[in-house]
Amino acid sequence: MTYEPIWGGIIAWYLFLAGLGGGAFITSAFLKWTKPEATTMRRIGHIVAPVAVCIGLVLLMFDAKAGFLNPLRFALLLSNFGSVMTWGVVFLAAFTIIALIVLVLDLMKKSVPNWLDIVGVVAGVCVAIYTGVLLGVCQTFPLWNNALLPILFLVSALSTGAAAVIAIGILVKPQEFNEIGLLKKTHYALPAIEILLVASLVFITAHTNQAGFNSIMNLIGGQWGAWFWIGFVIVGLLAPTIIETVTLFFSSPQFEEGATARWLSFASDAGVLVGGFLLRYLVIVAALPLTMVVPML
Amino acid sequence: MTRYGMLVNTRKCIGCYACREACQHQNKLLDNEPFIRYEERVTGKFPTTDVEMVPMQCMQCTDAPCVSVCPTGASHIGPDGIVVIDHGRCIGCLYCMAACPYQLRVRNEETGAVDKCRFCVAAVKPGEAASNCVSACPMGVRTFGDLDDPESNVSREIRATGAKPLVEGLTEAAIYYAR
Amino acid sequence: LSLGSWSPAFGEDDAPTNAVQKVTLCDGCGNKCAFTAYTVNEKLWRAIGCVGYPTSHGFLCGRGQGYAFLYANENRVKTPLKKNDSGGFEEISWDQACQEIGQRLTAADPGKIALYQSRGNSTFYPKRLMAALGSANCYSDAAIRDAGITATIEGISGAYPAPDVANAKYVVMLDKSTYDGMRPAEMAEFAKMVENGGHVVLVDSRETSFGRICDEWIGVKPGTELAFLLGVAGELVRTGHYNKDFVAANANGFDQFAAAMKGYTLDWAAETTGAETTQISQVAANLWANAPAAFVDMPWAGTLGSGFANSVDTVRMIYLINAILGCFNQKGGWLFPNAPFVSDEMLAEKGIPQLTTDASIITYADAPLVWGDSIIAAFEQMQAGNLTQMIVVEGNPVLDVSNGNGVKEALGKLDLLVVLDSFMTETALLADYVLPLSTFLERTDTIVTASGANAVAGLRTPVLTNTEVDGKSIPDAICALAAGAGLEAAFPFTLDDYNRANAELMGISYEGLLREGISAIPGSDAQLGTMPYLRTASGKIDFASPTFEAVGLSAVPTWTSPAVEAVNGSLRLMVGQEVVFQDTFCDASPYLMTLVEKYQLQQAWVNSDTAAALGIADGDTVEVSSPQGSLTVPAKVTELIAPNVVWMPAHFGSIYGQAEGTPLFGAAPKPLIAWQLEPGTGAGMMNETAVTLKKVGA
Ligand SMILES: Nc1nc2c(c(=O)[nH]1)N[C@H]1C(S)=C(S)[C@@H](COP(=O)(O)OP(=O)(O)OC[C@H]3O[C@@H](n4cnc5c(=O)[nH]c(N)nc54)[C@H](O)[C@@H]3O)O[C@H]1N2
Ligand SMILES: Nc1nc2c(c(=O)[nH]1)N[C@H]1C(S)=C(S)[C@@H](COP(=O)(O)OP(=O)(O)OC[C@H]3O[C@@H](n4cnc5c(=O)[nH]c(N)nc54)[C@H](O)[C@@H]3O)O[C@H]1N2
Ligand code: SF4
Ligand code: SF4
Ligand code: SF4
Ligand code: SF4
Ligand code: SF4
Ligand SMILES: [Mo]
Repeated sequence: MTYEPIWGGIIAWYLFLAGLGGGAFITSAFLKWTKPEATTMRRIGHIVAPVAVCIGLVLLMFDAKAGFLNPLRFALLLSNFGSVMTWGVVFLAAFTIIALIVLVLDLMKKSVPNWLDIVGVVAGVCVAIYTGVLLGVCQTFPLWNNALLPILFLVSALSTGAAAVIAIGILVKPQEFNEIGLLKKTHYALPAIEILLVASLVFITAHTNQAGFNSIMNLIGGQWGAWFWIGFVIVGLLAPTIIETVTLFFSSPQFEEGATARWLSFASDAGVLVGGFLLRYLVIVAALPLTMVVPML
Repeated sequence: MTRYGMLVNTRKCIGCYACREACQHQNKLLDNEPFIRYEERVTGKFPTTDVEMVPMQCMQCTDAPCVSVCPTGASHIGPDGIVVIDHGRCIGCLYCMAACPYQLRVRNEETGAVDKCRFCVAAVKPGEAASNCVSACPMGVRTFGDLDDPESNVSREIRATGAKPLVEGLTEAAIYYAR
Repeated sequence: LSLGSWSPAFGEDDAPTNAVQKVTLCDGCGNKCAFTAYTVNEKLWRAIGCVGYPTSHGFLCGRGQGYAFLYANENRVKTPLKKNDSGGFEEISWDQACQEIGQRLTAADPGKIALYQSRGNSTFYPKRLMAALGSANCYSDAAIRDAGITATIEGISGAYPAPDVANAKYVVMLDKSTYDGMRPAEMAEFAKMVENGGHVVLVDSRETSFGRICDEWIGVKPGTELAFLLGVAGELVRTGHYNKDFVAANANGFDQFAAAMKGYTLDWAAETTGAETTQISQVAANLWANAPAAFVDMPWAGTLGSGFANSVDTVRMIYLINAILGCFNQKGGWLFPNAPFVSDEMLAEKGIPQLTTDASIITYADAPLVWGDSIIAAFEQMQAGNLTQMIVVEGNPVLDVSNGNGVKEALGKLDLLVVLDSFMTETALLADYVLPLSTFLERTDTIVTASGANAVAGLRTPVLTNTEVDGKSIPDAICALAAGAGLEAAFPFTLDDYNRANAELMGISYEGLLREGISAIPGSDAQLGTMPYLRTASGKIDFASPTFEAVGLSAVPTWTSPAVEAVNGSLRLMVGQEVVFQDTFCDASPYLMTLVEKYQLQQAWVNSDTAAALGIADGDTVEVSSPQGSLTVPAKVTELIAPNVVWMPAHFGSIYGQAEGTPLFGAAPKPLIAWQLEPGTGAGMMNETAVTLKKVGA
């Protein structure tokens, strides 16, 4: 039998947007603590966080057709605290509420208490990690069922969140872009970490068992190979790393602060976003279950 | 305690699909919503080959991943150890489908809810015929009954054939295979 | 309102208290198994085969279960249709249709009117209408089905066997695909037999689904099973392993037969079939060791009935080997039930007047073993303009008969084509009138009998109603046509009268039959230890046959090569039945169709070595070409088929039953096969075609 993935694009968008929302909030908090004067960028993060998560949730509800047709059933989501998804709902709800409160405070130009930021950051991290654990508890998919995936998704969430904030910042308030050096440097490190994590994931999964090996072959060769190498690795990881390496370390400060550098950086952020989405999508569709290949079939 | 289970003797199965079609009648399933799936294994090379047909349906796991991941409690283990789905609670998130190690759940394209072999919950009530897939099989591949009763037909057949779950140690499946 | 009470769990409402039970007959294939239909609100809830019916023994096959979903198909022909000048169809009333058709039929030359009816439901009615019109041109699907078997049995004995599988110890299953299994009674019996320690050997070029329970598969070259049997018989005769008492009492011409068999050596048979000599000698030894609870199984129809240039002798060999094993009317052997005999004269006494015509049927002149009725000959005559009107009742010759393009061309020359069917088939699309029939779930047919160890009568009656379709049963539709032709006098009785007369002549209560759906016929049980009544001139089994000799065929079976050989890179085309389909009509069940798509049952099978040599991988689309034409189909590369063969299921490539506008699914292999006629029987030699295979896009 050929195996058809259970989830597809919509769930990939959901996982991507949830992570991105969490990452954007964390980016804002990071900016607040390291560069308090970058208020526009901070606000962008505050807006992106709840909006992205809410869009993700709407997509999720849309994909959950039985619930979509009977919306009252969503009230049942808190029924089973043994379910990662139930915890996800808790995290998402908590995070969305905090993010909205923070946004309102920000828009009302009131100061956001530090504890609230900290709670929000914790909730954001939970949301980002949850998107990985959600897949991870499905034991029969070796590509999902490992400790690396939540970490990878967390790093990717931070990376895409920051990329979204920076990219929008470039469009809305270019001059602030030049002042957030530390964020840029931190952000720069993330794709590099991701490369390491993905390489480990591929290596480890391929060595677990036949299904793991087949999943990896499916991911890096087979049907999804081109998307993986061109879309995720080159556009999403290598290109941003190279662009940022060049602009951050090998170009003059004037160039670094010029329009070309901004647009290069914009392109690199866009690449990170594309890569972030493709990571979720490919991990979802390329995974093959264990019983398809062992022990009899 | 009663724990319902089934023995599937693949040495007798010729892959006629009667069990699947009969189940679809009984449970009013859509045409693309089967509870039973078949896997064929061919070994050897012409002219000495061996071919086996393995019908599969929800294994009614005691340690059921589909139940533990279900956020709404729609999937739960009912009395008699049967894994049931409350269709009025199911939101169709498909989490259980992803979690089932055997891919034995299906989504109803009309309602969006998830479904799977019901072990003919109603039919095992006293006075009713056995599950339709059991009674419809012309080859006598399937035996249904109480695994906790060592004298039940299914328990005796399992002992006699040395049947085992499809994958041992995975989910404590209640369907045994003689192969 | 607690959350838990939002709705019941799936399954809890599954045992309806209002289910209605009724026994009726399946129409998923010619076996017409009896089953109890449980319906709830006009839907089938359960279909359980009747225990006391010879073909079902308590079960329906998967095809029968799935075919019963016919009501889920909305693409029915809902009203009578008439073709208009622009080639489209217009809805008309039954009255108008029957008037117009009736006038055109009565105005025609009766000798040029033809009937084709393949599915064998209520055949009495269409044939009687033909007689009333003055035509004898009634054709069935015998020539593409079982003509070779009936002709042979009529020629050498006249007694028809039923295998006692459950009690057998050793069975050789030859060229028999899913059919055997798909007679649910036989499936159940094979399961019992294997459970009791019996052995089954499969002799076939393809390991059919039944191979899953067989002990051994002997993958012979296609068309050579006659050689296999000659080898087995030679061995039995040489070793003296045959029942000499039986032969002495019941054989005519045994010495001539034995002398001929001795010439067929194991080495020759092995060489010809591709089997090992030891496999052949083992089969002979095992048959003898287990006799009389052992036999070579006779697949009814398909390959042997109309397959090869040598099919007639293959059938003879099966019959004669089983005879010398002495298994006739023995436990675990071949049983001969006393099927009831109901003649036209007897019916006349019961109020069903005889109606005959002195016209004679237009058929194949060189088929002296059969009485007539070669649908292939009919299409040849139609091409020549000798048949000009045709009525098709439940048949789709465009896809089911060989040389589909020739069939289309022939139908195109007709002055009038009337098709009675439930769905818009490829044949119906060519018709001048299409008349909607109700499906088997909605109608009453004429009484039938089925035989196993005894004979049982069965009656199909409606279990569902469909108010959206203005369909009629076959008897009602034919009576309406007769009225339109001014021939209502030909049917001075009701269907009820006809069925009652038959029931009474069979010695069963008609009321009981109406109530129970089936009824065992008293006195029909096979009598163990007796000889069946033989209808030959010698009164014995003709091992050397005067009938065959008289028509220029060999008195004893002889080796004849199949007409076609796979040479110069060509492959033999084998066509057969796929487990859940009977011909093309099963695609009207969406439930069977999804099964086909899911498990890719439409694929053409090719041996892995053959495929490798041609650069074909599993799942590739391949082009299969014969001199008749070519088609494309996905390939299944497998170890379960002999090299240099392509096997295609016979059923796909059809359009009806599917939503309008959906593309064809699979491929119809029959248009690849030429009109060819087996000497003696006029059968279609459906497995005598060489094809080439090539990967599409390579
Ligand atoms: N090469 C090759 N050719 C073959 C065969 C083969 O194996 N190989 N098989 C041969 C054999 S053995 C046979 S028997 C013939 C069979 O040939 P046919 O008997 O002609 O079979 P179909 O045309 O498929 O089915 C008859 C029609 O019944 C209609 N129908 C379906 N369900 C219902 C219903 O409930 N009520 C009514 N009124 N109509 C219904 C369908 O629409 C269909 O048009 O084909 C033969 N042709
Ligand atoms: N599932 C299913 N069952 C059916 C039907 C159906 O359509 N589907 N139709 C019913 C009807 S009407 C009929 S007539 C019967 C026909 O039933 P069968 O008589 O079983 O006919 P087929 O399946 O056409 O062919 C039998 C097998 O012979 C093998 N074969 C072909 N050529 C050769 C050869 O040269 N040598 C050897 N050794 N083997 C060969 C093929 O593997 C093929 O599967 O089935 C009946 N039952
Ligand atoms: S009904 Fe029985 S023989 Fe047929 S596929 Fe199902 S289990 Fe196998
Ligand atoms: S087989 Fe799958 S659906 Fe059934 S109980 Fe086990 S995990 Fe759940
Ligand atoms: S799809 Fe339904 S049954 Fe499955 S996990 Fe979601 S809510 Fe539970
Ligand atoms: S036990 Fe019932 S629900 Fe399950 S496969 Fe059999 S018939 Fe279907
Ligand atoms: S063999 Fe199957 S399809 Fe044919 S009549 Fe019997 S149950 Fe129906
Ligand atoms: Mo047939």
